[in-house]
Amino acid sequence: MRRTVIAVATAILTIAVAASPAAASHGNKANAGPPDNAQQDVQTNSLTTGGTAAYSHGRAQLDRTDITMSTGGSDLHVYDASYSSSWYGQTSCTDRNWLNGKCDHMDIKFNTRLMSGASTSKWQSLGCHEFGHSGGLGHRYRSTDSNDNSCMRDDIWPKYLDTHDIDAVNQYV
Amino acid sequence: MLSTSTSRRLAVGAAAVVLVAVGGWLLRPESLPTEWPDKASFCVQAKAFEVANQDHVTGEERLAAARAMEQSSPEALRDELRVLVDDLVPESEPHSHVSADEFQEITVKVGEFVERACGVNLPSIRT
Repeated sequence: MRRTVIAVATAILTIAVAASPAAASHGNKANAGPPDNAQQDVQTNSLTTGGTAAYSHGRAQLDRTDITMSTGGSDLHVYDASYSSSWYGQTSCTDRNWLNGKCDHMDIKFNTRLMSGASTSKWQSLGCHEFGHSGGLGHRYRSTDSNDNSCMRDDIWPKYLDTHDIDAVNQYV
Repeated sequence: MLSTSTSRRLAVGAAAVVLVAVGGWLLRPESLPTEWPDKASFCVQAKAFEVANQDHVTGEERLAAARAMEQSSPEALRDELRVLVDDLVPESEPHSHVSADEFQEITVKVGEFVERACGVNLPSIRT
């Protein structure tokens, strides 16, 4: 299965629920759902070993940007569970400013059902990907990531934000 | 004929009534109109910010809609709309700043007004 499944699931959820998942382009479009400030508290909720690997790595990747990560419950809440949905991970804005689209609270969810048996490296890629969404990033595609080194890619599993990703996050915050 | 003390009591009582009335007027909740000449235009622009549109509307479209809302808003809300427009103006352009708390207060005030006046469902606004 590929991450395109995530994109399809995201599109469906966008229509189905009001608090839609953050899925932004890197073009600074308003649907980026960037965070409302550059100080992001993150709280975990009984994560599995894989979820913990995803969380730790994703948090560290976002910390490479101008966003400063800290531990606390006011901004990002991270969960993992066996969800019946067809996505590996999901980042949803649960409190968005209606005017500028910036997000005050987000939920990050990792799907242990689809990630069952995945390597630590794959979990870390997923963490990087979802935390990247929380920084306002959308998906990257082969056409816009020719060196295959962005964890925001939709079809492969790199582990890191590349310089383009980091620049984009820094533009938002 | 009223005695002096009775007259004094009546005067004090009347003064108290006036003070209460004036105080009540000063402390009354700010009333915003439900109808105004440019309401239709205002509400059309407000739809850009509806929950269902949030993932599709660009920053430029937000700014354009907010500017149009400022032009068509009730006079009593014009200052607040100006603050909201300034939040969307690129950093390179001159604009005013308010504190984060003030900004939050204004977005809620305008957001609640938009939901009530226009029937538009905005994210994170409960009316």
